[in-house]
This record gives sequence, structure tokens and C-alpha cells, in this order.
Amino acid sequence: MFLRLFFKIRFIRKPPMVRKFSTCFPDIDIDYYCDVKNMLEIKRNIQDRKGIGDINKVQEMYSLYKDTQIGDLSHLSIKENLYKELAKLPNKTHPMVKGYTETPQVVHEINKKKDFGPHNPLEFSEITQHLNLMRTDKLGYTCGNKSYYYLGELAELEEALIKYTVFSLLKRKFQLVSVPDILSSNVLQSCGMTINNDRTQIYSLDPVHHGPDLYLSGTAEMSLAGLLTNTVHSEKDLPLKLAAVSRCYRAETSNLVDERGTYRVHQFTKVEMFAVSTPQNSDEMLEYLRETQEELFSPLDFHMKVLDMPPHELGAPAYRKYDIEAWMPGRNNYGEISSCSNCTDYQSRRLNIKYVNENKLKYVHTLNGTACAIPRMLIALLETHQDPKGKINIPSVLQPFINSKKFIVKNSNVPKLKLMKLKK
Amino acid sequence: MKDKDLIKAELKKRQLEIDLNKIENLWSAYEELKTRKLEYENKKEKISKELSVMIKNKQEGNHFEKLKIQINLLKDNIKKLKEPLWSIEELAILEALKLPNKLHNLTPELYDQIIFEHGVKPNNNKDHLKVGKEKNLIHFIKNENYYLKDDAALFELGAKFYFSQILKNNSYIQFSNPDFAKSLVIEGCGGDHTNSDSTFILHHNEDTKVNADSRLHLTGGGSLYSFFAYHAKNVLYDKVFPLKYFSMGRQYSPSPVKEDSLYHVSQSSVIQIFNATRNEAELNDVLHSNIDLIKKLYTQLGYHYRLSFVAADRLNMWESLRLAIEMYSSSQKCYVEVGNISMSEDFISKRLMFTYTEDKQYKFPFVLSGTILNVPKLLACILEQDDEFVLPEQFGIDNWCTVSTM
Repeated sequence: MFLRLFFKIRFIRKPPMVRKFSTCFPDIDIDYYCDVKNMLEIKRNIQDRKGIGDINKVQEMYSLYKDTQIGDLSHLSIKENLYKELAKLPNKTHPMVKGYTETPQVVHEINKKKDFGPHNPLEFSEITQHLNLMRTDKLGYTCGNKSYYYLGELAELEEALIKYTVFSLLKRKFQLVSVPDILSSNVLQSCGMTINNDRTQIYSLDPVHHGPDLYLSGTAEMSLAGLLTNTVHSEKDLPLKLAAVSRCYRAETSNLVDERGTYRVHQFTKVEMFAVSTPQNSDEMLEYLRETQEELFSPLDFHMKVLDMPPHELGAPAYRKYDIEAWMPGRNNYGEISSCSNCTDYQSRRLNIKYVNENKLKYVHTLNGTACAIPRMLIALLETHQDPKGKINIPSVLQPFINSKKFIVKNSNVPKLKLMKLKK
Repeated sequence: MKDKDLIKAELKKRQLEIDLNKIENLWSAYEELKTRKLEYENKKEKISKELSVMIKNKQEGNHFEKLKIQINLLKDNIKKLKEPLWSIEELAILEALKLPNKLHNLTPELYDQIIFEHGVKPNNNKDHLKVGKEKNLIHFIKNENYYLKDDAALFELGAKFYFSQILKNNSYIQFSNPDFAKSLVIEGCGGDHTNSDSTFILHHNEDTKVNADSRLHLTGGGSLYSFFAYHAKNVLYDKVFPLKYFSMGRQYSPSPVKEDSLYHVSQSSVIQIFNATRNEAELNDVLHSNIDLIKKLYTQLGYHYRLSFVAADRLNMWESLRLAIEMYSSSQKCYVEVGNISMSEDFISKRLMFTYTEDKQYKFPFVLSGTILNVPKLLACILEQDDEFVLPEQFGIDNWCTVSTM
């Protein structure tokens, strides 16, 4: 999902190196996008998705491109401009989703909202404060704002969630991959992907000290896509199902009251799923990923709803996307805990990922989905399973992964700190 | 500077070229200015008291005027001293901060001292990157960018979980730490926060002006920095000690060499331990219990390893003692430090104001810390063993949960 940010801005600024090689142009489906017959459909799609891109401009450039001889000096720059415009266009939209208007379609709801009776459920930050399970205060001077430490059994619960998730994915025959969190632009640019330095959503290493091309990964989806760049798969090996546990870094900030505390943080651990399939199987694969998410989350016993997202929520790469929102009783609101998308050939054309079908090379379809994003998962768990007596019940499915503990109690093993007052 | 000879001897053992005379000169100049300023201030206070009495009694005349001139002169002098005092203070303190920690009596002088050995070293010419490629376990692009696949990826998680479990069984408390640290923490831990070879410095993407002393560094939640970032400028009660914490996370540091190898990668999954005690005697006890724990952790895995105290000249300036956990690398033809524990005693605590109160006094805790597991280094050594690589049984997913029927 995070990738859409990168794809949205690709080709806006291209390094001179890449400019020289025409082979770096992504193989965008010109036959479809430049056919006048499809103009109306493409135009409506852009409108519905509230996306960027201008199909009229694409048409203009395409006719100019067709009329220019290959030997002509301006040929390359015209081609470049054409592809710059083409790259902005969003993916096609699933026919069912096309009909949705502004709001997501609720596919179904899972588990009932927990009844707290006369008690007022507390927020995650209040629970962790009472039980001494997290520190977030006064960390700006030593590790930057919005930093957090999970303490004692909350850190154990994080580990239990990772174990439970990976354990379950391995049983479903996902292949585990350990990915780099620092990505050089080489990986991203190997097929022309560029990152804009000025985007504050992405952390980068200081270009003066470490060179200009090192960025902190926002999701394992990026590094897994990097791993698959320029690969050819045989049809019998598909679908390919990968899983990775990684740290994710996001520089974005939010001043929304609803997103206070650890709801939106700069760094967190996430288990991610990534799948590669044949075009005919990708719809089915998306359903499989969604079912996997539901099977992972349902036993955790919080209330959630599964949403089929409307066109304007898809970003550029997704053809169809499901989000799952968990009920967070303390926040008294739903919060997105996962999403999964079918990107069809949007990524594979840009990353050059193919498979062999009847001795021909064809583009695969790629899909991705969250298996467990720790901070929000912990919010949903603690807020749902808080007990007014001052403990947290651990869902039985997680207990084997946390030494058979049945609940989390007040942490008296980590002493409270007191900030020093310095005399001046 | 009282034990100048001792400091000189220790600098020699560490093979550090630090000009003690320079520090001494700066320091005495600083002390001198400070004394002079204090004298002026005392005089000023005396006169101002005298003056206030005179004003109360409405006494005026020559003496009164004389005192007024004197006090103005003193004020002037104090003001003039301010800047030179500040600059020499900064110079003297910066220079003094370069002085290393004192050495622990267990730190050997010339050569590492092996204190424990298990098994026999492998005898082959294997190279972990070749083995990893053949078995499709490692996709290595460069030291800054590599992937572990299948059993190697399982190895990463399984090793962490195995260590985590045994630490918890031994009354260690788990932490999950942030990955960023500010420059002051790097400097306080004895690092050079302006040196991009020692830590990754993040791009400053805010509108404010760049301040070289207040950058964000990507160090990892499995680094010592993250534990000191937690404790810096904070006070604890004496009753809470000893502290036994650990974190499971990443460690990021710029690759020291060009040669491609899992021994030199810039991203590692690790287990970091952090112990704090009230004094040296308690810290020595903690050292020995940790050595026992390390033996338990590594002996169960069954591979050849050894434990040694590192010679003074190989210590970092903040370390008074380091125990290296070493395994033999068939490709490097030497022992590699796959893990370690270090004593910093109260050296970093003092610099980062990590304190506790005892008898109504502020004191500095003694700290022992270490990366007791470094996944890529351990994996590399295990891939270079004589036997074919198999995932150690302790790391397998059947050991991730307590109920085997899952």
C-alpha cells in the first residue's frame, strides 16, 4: 500500500544516469492506454479514483511520438515525456469496485463488540500507564519525538504476536524472507523507480555523509519487490507466497486527536505477506490473502469489519483493496489494522517480473497484505481484553507463544524513572 | 588528574596517543579562571552587603563612592571573564571527554586471554556466501543490502526467540526499544556523533537549521544507545538494583570494510543485554553470572566457540573490560567475535546523567551491557562448519511455542 506513494511520484525527477538508457522505460501497456477507443474508460477511471494523470496529454504525446523518426534527435526526449505521463496513470479498477461510491463496502463483520457493562474502557495509553508497560514521555531529547519503549510483558506480547503470525504463515506454506530495512535507490531504480528526496514521508540517510541513495524502508513490500525485480518464474512455481518480518519507518506525522499516542508512529515492526500469481489467478489470490488475514485476526477476539475499498481509496497501483478495521473500545473508534491489495501488472511491468506461459514471457500479477502491524494490533488487543481489575486477558491462541501466560499484570520489574532536575 | 601516572600507564596499555599535558594545562587554566571569577564574586558580594548597610543607615561620603566604583569595576571584570571562561571550559571539557574509561583488573595487557573453550574448531575451506548461494539461503547484493531466505530467515527469528526465552528464564526483563538516538546519546556513549563511519546519520528533513550536535542517528533497538537513551538524565532509587534488561531488535552501523561478507553487514538482528548495579563489586558478580549464562546458551547449540577477555589495546574507549564470544571462521581463517559483553562501569552513566539516590546523595550506576547474539555473524560461522548446514533444533518453529500440538 505504501508503494503507491513511490509509484505516484516516479519519473517526476529522473537521475541523469537513468535518462540515458531507454531500456529503463517501464513496459506500460501502450496498446491499451494509447488506443483512442479506451480514452473514455481511462478518463472515467482517473476521475473515479481521484487520481492524477491526463489521458488527453498522453494521446497528444503519443501521436507526436508516432510521427517522430527514431533517428530524430528529439525522439528520445519525446518518448521520455510520453512515459512520464503514462507512468502517472492509475491501475485499472476491478469491475465490482467501479460501482462503489464514496464509502467502502462492508464485506462482513467479525466477532461482537465486547460488552464492558458499567465500566468505561480505557485507552491504550492509560492502560499501559496504569500497568507500567510502556514509556513515551520525555524522549524527544534522546531518541526523537513519538518514540516509545514497550516494557516487560508488553514486549513479550509483541514477540508472541510475531511468533504466532509467522508460525501460522509457515503452516500455510509461505516462504520466509529476511529483508534489508535500508534500501539503496539502485534497488528501486533498477527499473527506473525514483524517489523524491524532498518527500518528508520517507526517511533517508544524510546524503552528504552516506551517499545520495539510501532510504529507510516504509514496508517490507518494497524490499520484497526489490528482491523480485528482473526475475522470470515458471508457471508451475506460481503462486509464490512470501512473508517477511521487518522494521518499517515512516516520517509522516499527524496532528489529529484521533491519531495520538502510538496509533501513528515513526517506526514499528510488521509482518508482511507478498504474493506473485498468474493474471487469471490474482482475484482468487486476493481472496486468499484476505481469508488469511481474517483467520489470523479472528481468534484474537476483537471486533472488526472487513471493507472492500472504493475507487478513490485505492491509490495508483491497486486494482482492488480490502482493509480491515478493528474496534478499539478505549479510543471508541475503528482503526485500520491491515490492508491487502491486488496490484495486477502495475508493479510487475515496472519491476519486470515475468513468468513463462506456453513458451511466452508474460507479466505476473503481484499482491500484498499486512499480516500483523504491531502497534495497532497491541492497541486493539489491550483495549478489548482489559479487565477492570487491572489486568489484561491474553487470547488463548496467543498463550502458547507467551509461556502459557493467561494474562498480563502490572509490571513491577521495571522501576519508574524520575527525570533529574538540574541545578543551574 | 591526581593519578596522572596511572592514567599514563593505562593510556599506554590501550596504545592511545592522548596528550595528558595539554589536558592538564587546559584544565588548570580553566580552574584558574574559575577561581578568579569566584574571588571577584565573593568580593562583590562582600562590598554589596557593606553598601546595603550603608544605604540603610544613610551613610554617604568618600568611602561610599569608593565602594561604588569598586563594585562597578568588579562587575566589569566578571563580565569580561565570562566569555574566555566559557570557551576554555568548553575546550577543557571536550579534551577531558577524550580520556578513556579506566581498565578493569581482568583486562589483559598484550594478548587476549582465553578463559573458556568448547569443542574443536572446524577444518575446511568453506565460505558462508558460497554455501549460502548454493543452498539458496542468502541473496547477497552488498554489505548494506542482503536477504536471508527460507531456513536462513527462520534461523534469524529462531535464534532470537531461543535467546529471548533463556534470558527470560534467567529473570531478564524484555524491552522493545526505538531505533533512533540523538547525537548527545552517541557522544555520551563514547562515540563520535559527527563521524559517519561509526553511526548512520539521518537526513535532516525539517525546515529548521541543521545542528551537527543534534542529529538523529539510526542505531537500532538492539543497540546500547537505545538503553542509555532510556536512562539518560533519570534518577532511580537504590533499592531497584540490579537491573537486568534485554532487547531483541536491529543493530545498524556503517560497514567497516568493502569486502562482501555477513561479518561486515550494516544491518544485524541482535539480542542486547543491559545490566546496572550500584557499585563495582555488584557488577563483578553480574559479570560472572552472565558468563555462566553465555556458556549455557552457546554450549547447548553444540558448535565450537571460545570466550576471551580482550586485550587493552582492542577495547573501545568506554569499555573497561570486554568478554568476546568467538567462533572460528573457515573463510577468514581466524576467530570472529560473534557476540560480547562489556563493562562500562559508571563511565557512560556519568556522561549521560544516569543516576540513583542513596543516602540522599546522587550516585552513578555501574553498567554491563553487550550484544550476546549477532545473527548474521553467528549464521556465517555456522554455515562454515564442517558438517552440512541444518537449522539448529533449538531455533525450529516447534520450539517457538509451549504446546507442541499447535
